[in-house]
Amino acid sequence: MSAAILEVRALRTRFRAPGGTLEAVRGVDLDLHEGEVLGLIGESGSGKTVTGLSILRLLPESASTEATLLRFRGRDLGGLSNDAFRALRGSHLAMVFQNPAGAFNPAKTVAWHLSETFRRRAARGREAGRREAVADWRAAAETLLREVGIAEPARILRLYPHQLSGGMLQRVLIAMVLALEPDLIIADEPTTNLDNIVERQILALFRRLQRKVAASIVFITHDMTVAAALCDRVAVMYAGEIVELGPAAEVFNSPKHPYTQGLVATATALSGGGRLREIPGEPPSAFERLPGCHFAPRCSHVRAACTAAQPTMRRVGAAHEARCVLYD
Amino acid sequence: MMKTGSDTAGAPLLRLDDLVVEFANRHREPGAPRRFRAVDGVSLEIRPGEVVGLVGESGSGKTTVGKTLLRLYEPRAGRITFRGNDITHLGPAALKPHRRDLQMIFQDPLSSLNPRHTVGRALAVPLLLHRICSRAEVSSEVGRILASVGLSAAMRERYPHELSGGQLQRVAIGRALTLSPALIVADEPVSKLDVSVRAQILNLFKDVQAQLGLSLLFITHDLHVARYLCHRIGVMFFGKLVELAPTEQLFSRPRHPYTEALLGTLDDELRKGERAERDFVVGADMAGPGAAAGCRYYARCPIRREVCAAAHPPLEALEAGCFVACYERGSLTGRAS
Repeated sequence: MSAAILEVRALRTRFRAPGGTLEAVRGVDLDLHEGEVLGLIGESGSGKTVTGLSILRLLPESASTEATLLRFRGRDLGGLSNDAFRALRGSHLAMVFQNPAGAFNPAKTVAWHLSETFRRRAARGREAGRREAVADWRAAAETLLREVGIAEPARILRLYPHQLSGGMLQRVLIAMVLALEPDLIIADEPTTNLDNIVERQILALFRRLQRKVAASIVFITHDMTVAAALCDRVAVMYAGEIVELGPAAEVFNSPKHPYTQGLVATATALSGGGRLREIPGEPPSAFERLPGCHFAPRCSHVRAACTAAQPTMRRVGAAHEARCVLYD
Repeated sequence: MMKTGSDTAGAPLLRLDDLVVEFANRHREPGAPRRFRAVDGVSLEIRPGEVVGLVGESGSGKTTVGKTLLRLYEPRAGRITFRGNDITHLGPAALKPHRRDLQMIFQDPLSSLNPRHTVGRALAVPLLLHRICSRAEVSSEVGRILASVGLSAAMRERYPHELSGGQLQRVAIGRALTLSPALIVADEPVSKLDVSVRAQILNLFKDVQAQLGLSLLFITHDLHVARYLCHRIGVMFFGKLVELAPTEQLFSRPRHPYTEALLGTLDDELRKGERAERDFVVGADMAGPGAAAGCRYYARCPIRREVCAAAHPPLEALEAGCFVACYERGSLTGRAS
């Protein structure tokens, strides 16, 4: 197994809210290996997005994050000043959001955004004593735009963000990530607002991105089919915790946690016909703290041990773990 | 006029003839036209008790069709016939008796409910407004509606922001049902819901539709969802209906190349558990319609011919209630009509 580019231990994130303190992430342990695509799957409120934002220090003031370990390439991220962290984020770490429009300056053209990206990359190279500047950024930008499937790059470079569709903007954003060549990318539902065909194309771009720049990617999604199409490993989140973690094929073929089993069943039944299998109830609110397993109120296998104490991760395969007492 | 329903059933509940809807083209590039045609000559029938799906990518005009048939947008041209009455240009007063028969459920239920009204009030107001029941009966009627969508009576005291997405969508469905409508337009009603809750709401739609014999126009970008719920599915592309067929025919034998492409994205990767590299075709130009005069799908079409650049093909009836707008796949073999 290759070395971990990102190590996270006991990550907790709380928000101060009018109704009290809300714990969105409740102890996440994660290792991202070099060149790997790790899927972070979960429903809204499961803490998957907050996990990504916590790692990249992109949360608002009302949030507090703690972790016993947060390391990027062996370097402790927790001890970095905000300025040092921001410099790292613009060059070595990158985030792709669900809504690409938010990542653009509305008053600037596509050309400005790409030239800015090349400038940042050149600055990163100077710091490391490497030459990363490109001789002709416009030509390089046009090549990248063509690579992400944009037929008329010269025209697109002249346009402003609001003149482009969501799919186009997401492509431009991915071209910017390609231009930056970061080491770690956290992508938060980058295809969720797009229709099926464009979604497939963007997923293909992520594959290409990963191959071309050997980036390690945390891919956050609620869509199991998307995760299955892209990820090497997946982590399933529920109520702020990882409840199952393993190789993608293994998790989807033989899910172990009852929640994952329910998700896989609903996702596959749609194309099968017959009545859909429901997971009864709804996820708990982030204000609630149950003494035992957070999925217990919805679980059909629930027993006394489930509500007595928080279950820990159990090994259910060579590299496959589930947070469930069924596997004791 | 072509008949875009099956011949077996009686009169359609709702019928659209050559519907055209245009909007002002804001944010246009220099030289672009001032008006943007969101719906371009769509004809469709919905029969009593039928669930018709409209699928297509964002911007294809599917939501505009739904809103226009409810008279929330003014059509530029074409006709909307409901129960045999032409309602295309009816004024507010003349339209009111039809309003209770035509309801809508939106993608985001939170923004469609008044934040300062309790759930009970949201359900009671339409009952009183349309004089469905007396003030004395309202409470029991609201309770009955809540029960029919799987919510407890205690919900009536709650405010929208206190409810989860699934509960909100149940309230929205309940509110659409208060007036016992004949037709509900549901615009992406499950796409914002969590996967585990989505199944509950889809099952609720299926139960309610079957019990009440409702007609439903179900707008979605998700073919899985359309297949689960719809009797017939229409596929839209840039304002045009390019294919219309009974659900199983559409899935077993798609005719339009765009439908084929859409189905190609329906992967059973999950079931196989393996990562598919096959479908990853990158590079198709994302720009919309190619030749302005020709087929809307021209720029992306793998089977385009010369004739396709000249005029958009008409929606043509094939066997068994299937319709397609394609020179190559229809029987018209290149004659522009």
